[in-house]
Amino acid sequence: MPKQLAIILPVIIAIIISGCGNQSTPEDSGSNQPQQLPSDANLLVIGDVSDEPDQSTAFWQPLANYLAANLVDQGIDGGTVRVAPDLETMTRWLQSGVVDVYIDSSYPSLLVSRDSGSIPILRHGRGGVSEYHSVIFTLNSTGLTELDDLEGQLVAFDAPYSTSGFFLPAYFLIDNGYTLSEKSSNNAAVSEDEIGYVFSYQDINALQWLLSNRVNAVVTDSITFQEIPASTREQIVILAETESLPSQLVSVAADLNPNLRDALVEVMEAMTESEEGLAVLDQIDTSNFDTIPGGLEAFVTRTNQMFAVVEG
Amino acid sequence: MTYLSGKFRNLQLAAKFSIGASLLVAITIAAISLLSLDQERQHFRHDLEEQANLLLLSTSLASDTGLYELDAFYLSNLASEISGDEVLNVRFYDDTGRLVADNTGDPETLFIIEPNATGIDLLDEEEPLLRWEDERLFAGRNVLLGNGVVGAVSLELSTEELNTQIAATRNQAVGAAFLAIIAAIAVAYALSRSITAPIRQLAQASSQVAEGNYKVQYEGNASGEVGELVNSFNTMTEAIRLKTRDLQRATRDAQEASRLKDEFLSVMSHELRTPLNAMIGFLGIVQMTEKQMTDKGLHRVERARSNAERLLALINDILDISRIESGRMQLVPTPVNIRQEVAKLNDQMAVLAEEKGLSLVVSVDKMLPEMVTVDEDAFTKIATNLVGNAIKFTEEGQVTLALLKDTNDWIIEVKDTGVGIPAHMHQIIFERFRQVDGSTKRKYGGSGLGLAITASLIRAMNGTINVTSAPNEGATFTVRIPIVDTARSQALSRMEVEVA
Repeated sequence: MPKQLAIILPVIIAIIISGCGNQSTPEDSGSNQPQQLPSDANLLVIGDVSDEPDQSTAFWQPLANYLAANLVDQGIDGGTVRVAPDLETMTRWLQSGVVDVYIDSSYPSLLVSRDSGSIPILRHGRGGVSEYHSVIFTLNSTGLTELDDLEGQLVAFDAPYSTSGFFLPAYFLIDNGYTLSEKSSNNAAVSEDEIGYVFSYQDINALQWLLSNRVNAVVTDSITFQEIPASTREQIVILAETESLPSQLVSVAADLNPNLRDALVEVMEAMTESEEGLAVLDQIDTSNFDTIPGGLEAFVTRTNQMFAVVEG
Repeated sequence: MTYLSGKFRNLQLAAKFSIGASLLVAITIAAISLLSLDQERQHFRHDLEEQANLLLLSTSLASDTGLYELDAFYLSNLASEISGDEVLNVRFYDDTGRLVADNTGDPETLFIIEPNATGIDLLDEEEPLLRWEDERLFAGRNVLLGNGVVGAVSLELSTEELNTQIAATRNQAVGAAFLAIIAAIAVAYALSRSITAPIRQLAQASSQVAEGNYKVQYEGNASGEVGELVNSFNTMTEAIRLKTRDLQRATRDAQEASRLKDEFLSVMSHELRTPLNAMIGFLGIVQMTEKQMTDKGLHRVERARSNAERLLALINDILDISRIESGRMQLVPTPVNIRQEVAKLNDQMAVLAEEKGLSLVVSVDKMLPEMVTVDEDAFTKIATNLVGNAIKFTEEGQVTLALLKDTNDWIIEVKDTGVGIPAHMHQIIFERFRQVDGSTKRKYGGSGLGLAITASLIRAMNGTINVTSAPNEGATFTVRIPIVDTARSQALSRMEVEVA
C-alpha cells in the first residue's frame, strides 16, 4: 500500500494543481509545439489535432506507412505524422504544405477547409460509424415535451468544435427559429425568449448534468445516446434529432498534386480489399474509407449553408 | 481411540516420553502461533485501515471541486488513476447519492437516474466508514467543499496483499513450529534416553536375576532418582546373592543331615529288626516247644512276642515313611490279579475281625478288570492299613472292603461301624503320628503313622483319599486311583525287565 500511495498521491496532487473542471484546449497544451515544420516533397504527412502528440502519432503512423508504401509510384518514399495543438496551427500547416492529409471529425475539418482551402476527399468510418447525428433530449421529470419547451431552459452542449455536440444542434435550433445563448455555467439565468447552452466538453459530463438535474436538456451524438441504459432511456424524452453528417472526414491540402490526390483516394478506398489494408484499418479502429454520399460538391454546398446559419 | 491408546501403552518409555513432550511442544507452539497470527492479522488490518483512511482523505480532497462541478470526466480519470491491483474500485456519488463516476466507465451503472443506496448512506458519513467484506475493505465518506456536502466517495481495497502477508507469516510460523517440534523431539528423545537407558539396563539385569544370576550388578553411571534406584538394585542383588549362598549352604547341610539320618535309620532299623526278628522267632519256638510252661508263663511269652511284633511294625512304619519322604521309595506298577490280592487280604484280616467279633465283608466290582496295574506292595499296604484301622476302631458291627470301578478310576472303599472321626480331624489323621486324640492312642494303640503312609502312597500313585465320618457313626475311607492301561503297562514292564 505505501508503494501504491507513493504513485497515487503525486497523481492526485498533479490533478489538483492542474485544476479540475478546466478542460485543456489544444491551444493550451500545444504552446510548445513548432509553428512551422519543414516540408519534404517525398514524405506523405498525415496531420492531426491533439494535446497528446505521442499517442496521436503512434495511432496514425501505421496508416502513414501503409499509404507511403502504396504511393511509391507517386514519388512518395515515406510516411509520417504531424500533430498540431489546435485548428489554427493545422490550418497553417495545410496552407504551407507541412501536412498533406488531415483527418478529423466533420465540423473541425470543415472549419479548417474554409480557412486553409483543404479539400475533403473521403468519409472516414471511425469506430465502424460513417455517419452520425445529434439527439436533443430531456428527462420525463422535467416536463419538457417539445422543442418550444426549451425556450428559457439550459441545454448542455459538448464543445465549440464538436460536430454533434455543437454544430449540428446549433444549426438545427437556429434554423428552426430559436435563439441560442451561450452561458458560462449551468447556474446562469436563461431568458424566456432564448435557449441557453453551456459547454460540458465531454458527453459523460453532459449526461450526468442532465441526470443530476444540473441542466434541463442535453445534446449528444446518436452513438452516445445508444449507450444510455435502456432503463434510463425509458425515462427520457427525445425532443429532436438532427440530420446526419459523416463522423470523420479525410481532407488533403489544397495544393496537393492532383495525381497524388487521386492515387491517395484510390489507395484508401481499396484498403478493405487487402489483408494488409484491413490490418491497418483495424489498428486505427476504422471500418473503411469511402466517398461522401451525394458527392463532394453537394456536401460542400450543404455544409456552407449550415455554416452560414450557425455563424449568423 | 481404544486401539491407539492400546498402542501407546505398549510403547517404550522413551517413545512415550518423546511423543508426550512433542505433543506438548506442538500444542504450545500451535497456540502461540495462532495468537501471534491473530495479532499479526489485526496489525495488518489496522495498517490497511489506516491506509484506506489516508487514501480516502486524499481522494476526497482531490474530488471536491469535480463533484461540485459534476465533472464526471475528470472524476472518471481520477478513479482510473487511483484504481489498480490494490484499489479495486473507486466510486463517486453526487450530492443526491447518484453514482456519477467510477473506474469502470460502465454506462449501465453510471447513467442511472435513481440515487445509489451506498451513496445516500455515505453522504451522512463525515468520518470514514470502514467495512470488511469478502476479499476487500470497503471505505467511504462524504466529500465537503466548504461546509457543504458535494458528494461522496467510496473505495474498495483488495485484501490480497493482506492475505499474502498473513499467509507468509503463517508459513513462517508453521516452519518455525515445525523446526521447534523437530528440536523438541530430538531433545525429548535424548532426555528420555538418558533416563530410560539405565532403567532398561536395570530391567535386563533384573531379567538375569530372575533367571538366577545373582552376581549381576549395574555398572553404568546414573544419578538422581535413577541413581538411587540403581544403588538399591545393586544392594538388593548383593543381599539376594548372600542369602542364596547361605541357603545353598543350608540346603547342602540339610541334605547331608538327611543323608546321615537315612543312613542312621537304615543302620538302626537293621540293627533293631535283626534282634527283634530273632526274639520273635525264639519266643514262637518257646511257645511251641516249652510244654511244661504254665499258662501264666505262656501268657507272658505271648505278651513279649506281641510287643516285639508291635515294635517291629513300628520300626517298619518309620522306615516306610522315611523312604517315602526322602523319595527313595520307588513304586513299580505291574499287572496284578486284584481279586487274588483281595482274597489273600481277606484271609489275613478276617482272623483279626473274628477275634473282635466283627464280620469282614469283601466285594469286587464285576466291571473291574481282572488284572489291574498297580504296585502290589503299595496296594497291599493301603488296603491292609485301612482295613486294619477299621477293625481296630470298631467294637461291633462290620467292616466292608469294596473294590469298585468308576469311569477313569478304580476305587478302594473301606467302611466300618466304629467310633467315627470328628469332622475337624478329617485332615489331621493323615499327618504323621496323629490320631484323633491321645486317649485313642492309649486305648487302641498304634504309632499314628499308618494313615500318613497310606496317604503318601496314594499320592505317589496320583490318587486321592478322603474320609466321611462322624463320631459314633462309623467311617468310610474312599481311595480313587487312576486306571492304568494294563496292556501298555505290561509292555512297559516287559521292556524294563529286558533292559534289566
